[in-house]
Parts: sequence; structure tokens; C-alpha cells
Amino acid sequence: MMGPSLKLQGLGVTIKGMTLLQPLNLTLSGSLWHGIAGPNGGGKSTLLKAIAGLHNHRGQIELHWPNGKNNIGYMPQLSPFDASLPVTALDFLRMHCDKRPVWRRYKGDPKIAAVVERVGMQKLLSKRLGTLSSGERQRVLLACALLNEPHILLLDEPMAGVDKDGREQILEILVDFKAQGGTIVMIEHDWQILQQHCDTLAWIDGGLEAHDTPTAIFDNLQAPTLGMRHAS
Amino acid sequence: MLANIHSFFSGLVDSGMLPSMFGYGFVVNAFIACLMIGPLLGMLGTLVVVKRLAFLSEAVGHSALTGVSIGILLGEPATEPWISLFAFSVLFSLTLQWVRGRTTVPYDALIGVFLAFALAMGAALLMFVAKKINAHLVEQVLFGSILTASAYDLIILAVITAIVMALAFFSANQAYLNALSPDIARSLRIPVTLHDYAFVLLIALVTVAAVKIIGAILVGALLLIPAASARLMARDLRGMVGFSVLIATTSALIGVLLPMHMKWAIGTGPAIILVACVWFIIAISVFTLRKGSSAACA
Repeated sequence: MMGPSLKLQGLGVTIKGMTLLQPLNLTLSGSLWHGIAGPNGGGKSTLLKAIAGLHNHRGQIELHWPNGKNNIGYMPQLSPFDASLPVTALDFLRMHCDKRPVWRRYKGDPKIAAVVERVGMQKLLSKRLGTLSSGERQRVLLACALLNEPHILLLDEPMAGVDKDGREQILEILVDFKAQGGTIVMIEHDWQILQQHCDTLAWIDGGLEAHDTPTAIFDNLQAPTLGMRHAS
Repeated sequence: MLANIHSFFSGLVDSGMLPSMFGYGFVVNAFIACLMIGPLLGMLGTLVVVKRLAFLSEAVGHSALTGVSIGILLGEPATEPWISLFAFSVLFSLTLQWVRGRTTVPYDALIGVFLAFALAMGAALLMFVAKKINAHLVEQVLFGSILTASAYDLIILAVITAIVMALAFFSANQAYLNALSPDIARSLRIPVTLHDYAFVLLIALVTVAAVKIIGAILVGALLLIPAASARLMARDLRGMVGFSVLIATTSALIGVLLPMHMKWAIGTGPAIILVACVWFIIAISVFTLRKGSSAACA
């Protein structure tokens, strides 16, 4: 597997007259792990959504696929889920790929079985989405993103609300994904994770402020020029 | 074909296997209609509940009132104003969806405005209609009637049922995913906008198909109550769809046949919805008991 590289040219997002993201140019190489960080409300999620094709945007987004077009795995930000809605984790996974309608009996699907194994969520399958802890729900969302065997993962804060063991588990899956050649673009607040795992870091605050190795940006942030508004 | 079915039922009545009321053609027609309405509304209702659009089905139901009135005023037959009924309900729901994408008004407020419009318009026109036709017919439009399901109605109902079942087989997963997480659906290149329009269109179609049995005022309720009850009782999505179809079908059948059997002079619409409400009470009790027992265990 070879993950695609990304070339953003003059990419900007304006929704209902509000500029959420100033036009920016950014090149993200294939098969690498790219972090996106910056203050809240700075447009990180907007950028990720634009890449995933969820927002109308200005400028160009080019994905260069080495081996023909393939799938994108998008994992949205964690949001609350109605606990009383009878939708189990298995139901949710089935909606993503199973050819059999979800209201008929589940007869097994090799794709789902493989991803359940990979993420280690056998015990979660029969539980309602709304009753899962946020760490468990993140794992379900990650499993969904991995379901259609994507070559690139777009992750919006995959570690939010996840405990220490859960983090290790998710990081392990992502390290594995990258080792297989996949591209990862991930929004993350945790400097330790960014420095330890990411090859490059884009600092987004209304637009692109910096793009370099995480360490270089971190050192820069320590200096008073950029200001350390958000470095938790 | 319908004649064959009628004679089949008469045969069963003659041999004493069915009560004598099945000897009447209109009872058999209503019976067949209920067997289609139940699964149809029950199934689509689950999507209504997952999308939290109970109010929408209510609004589209009320739009049927306006559709009927316009049809009668334009000279369509008072018992089957299909053209205006379809035209107005479809136009109403598509306009609602179109405006939704182009305004910042919250969806529930927008539906509220449309609902009020449909009801006001329908009520205003009905005053004119009442001068033209028998007032009894107006009551049928509002609350449904067992007498009105003709062979033609059954054909329309069968076609819509076939469409919805085909969609349920091939697009249900995408539709549920779109309802739960539009962002993920869009990232998978599922045509989200098409799904949203198709959803309101289907609501309009099933509403129109069921309006003769249940009536314009209450037709939205049979989309809502079975699914809302099923939601309380089910443990997964498959269970919810199953319960919802079961409750909608049994409500329709009992609501149509019981008053007929007992010779109660109540409209089919109210009877059906009352049965559905009994189901809802059962569902709430089941839910509360289950919750109570699990709390005791904990």
C-alpha cells in the first residue's frame, strides 16, 4: 500500500460570509504522518473537512494516488450520541459497508470481522453507541474509518476523551497503518504525541502559520514571536 | 385479481373460518391496505425517529388536507383526488427541503411554519369544499374511513410499497448512516443531498398512500408512534425495525377490524392511532420495568 500525497493550493473556506480559513498552500507527502495543531476555533477541523470533501472551498485540493484512486478514511470529531437510540456498534459498522441491509440478520462480513479484530472491539459490538465511553466510541469511529481499507486517514482529534491504555492502543493501530505505507493527517493537541509520532506539523490559526517538523515548530513557539497561545 | 381475493375470502367466510364481516368487499380491501400500510409506515418511521423528524411527518400529513381540498375544488372526484393530493404533498415536502438548504432558520422552526401553513390553508379551503360536497366526506378526509379503499387505491399503495421495499433493501444502510452521521456519509461519497430529498419525498408518498385509511390529521402519527415505541423496546436497529413494523401493522389491522366487528361507529384513523397508543404505553412500561430491574441489579 502506498498512501497518497496531498497538495493544497490557495485552499480557503468561507461559509455564509464567514471566513473560516484564509487561503493557504500546503504540501503533505505521501506515506507520512502529518499533524495539525493550533488554537481552538483556528480552523483545524475546517481544513480537515475541506480535504475530506465536506465543505465547499476555494482553491485546489489535489490528492496524488500512487496506485490509482482509493478510499479516504475520515474520522469526525467525537460528538455526543443519544444513549436511548437502539443503534449498536455493530449496526454502525454495518452501515458503512455491509451489502445486506442493517435491518436483516447479520451474517458476518469479512471486512467487518477484520477491522473488529484489528481495533480489538469484540466486546463493544452488541453495545449501544450512546452507552459507550468516549474512548470506546473513538475506537468505533476509528474502526469505521478503517473499514473500507483506505490509503489515507483523516482524523479529527482521535485521542480526545481516550484514557492512557486506549491511547496506546489507537497509536499502535496508527503506527501500524503508517508502517504499511498509509498517509495520516491528524488533528491533535498533545505535544508529546505530535513530537513522538508526526513527521510534519502544520500550525493552523485562521490560516497556515507554520509547517515544519513538530520539534522545530515547538521551539519556535517557545520564542515570543508566535506566542504560545495553545500548547497544552 | 382483486375479485379472486374477494371470492377467496368469501369462501373462508362460508366455511366458517373467518367472521362474516370479511364477506364485504370493502372490509377485505381495507384489510389488504393495512397489510401494506403497516410495514410501509413502520419501516419508514424508524428513519423518522433516528433523524428526529417526527414533526416533519406531521406537517406532511396535514398538507394532505390542503391537497384534498384543492383537488375537490378543481373538480377531481371527492373520494379520490389523487392528482392534487400527490402533487401538493410532494411539492410541499420538496419545497420544505429546498428552503431548508437556503436559510439559517432552525429546521424544527421551519417545519413548524410549514405545518401551520398547511393546516391553515387546508382549513380555509375546506370551508369552500364543505359547500360543494357532503360534510360526511370531509370527515372521511380528516379521519379516514374503512369504506373508501377502492381497487385503484390498493394498486397505488402496492406500487409505493414496492418502491419503498426496494429502497429499503438497497439504500437502507446509506440512509441510516446519513441520518446518524452526515459527515461520515459525505466522506464516503454517499449522495447526502439526494438522500435528504428522497427521504422527504418518501414521507410524502407514504403519507398520501395511507391518508384514505387513516385520514389527514392522524396519518403522521402512524409514522411516529410505532417507531417511538419500538425504540424503547429494541436492543438494536434490527429489533427496532422489526418492532416498529409489527406495531404499525397490528395497530392498523386492529384499528380497522375491531370497530367493524364490535359495530362501533368510530373512524378508522382514530381507532388505529388509539391502538398504537396502547402499544406505546406497553413500550414505556417495558422500558421502565427493564430499567428498574437493571438499576436494582447494579
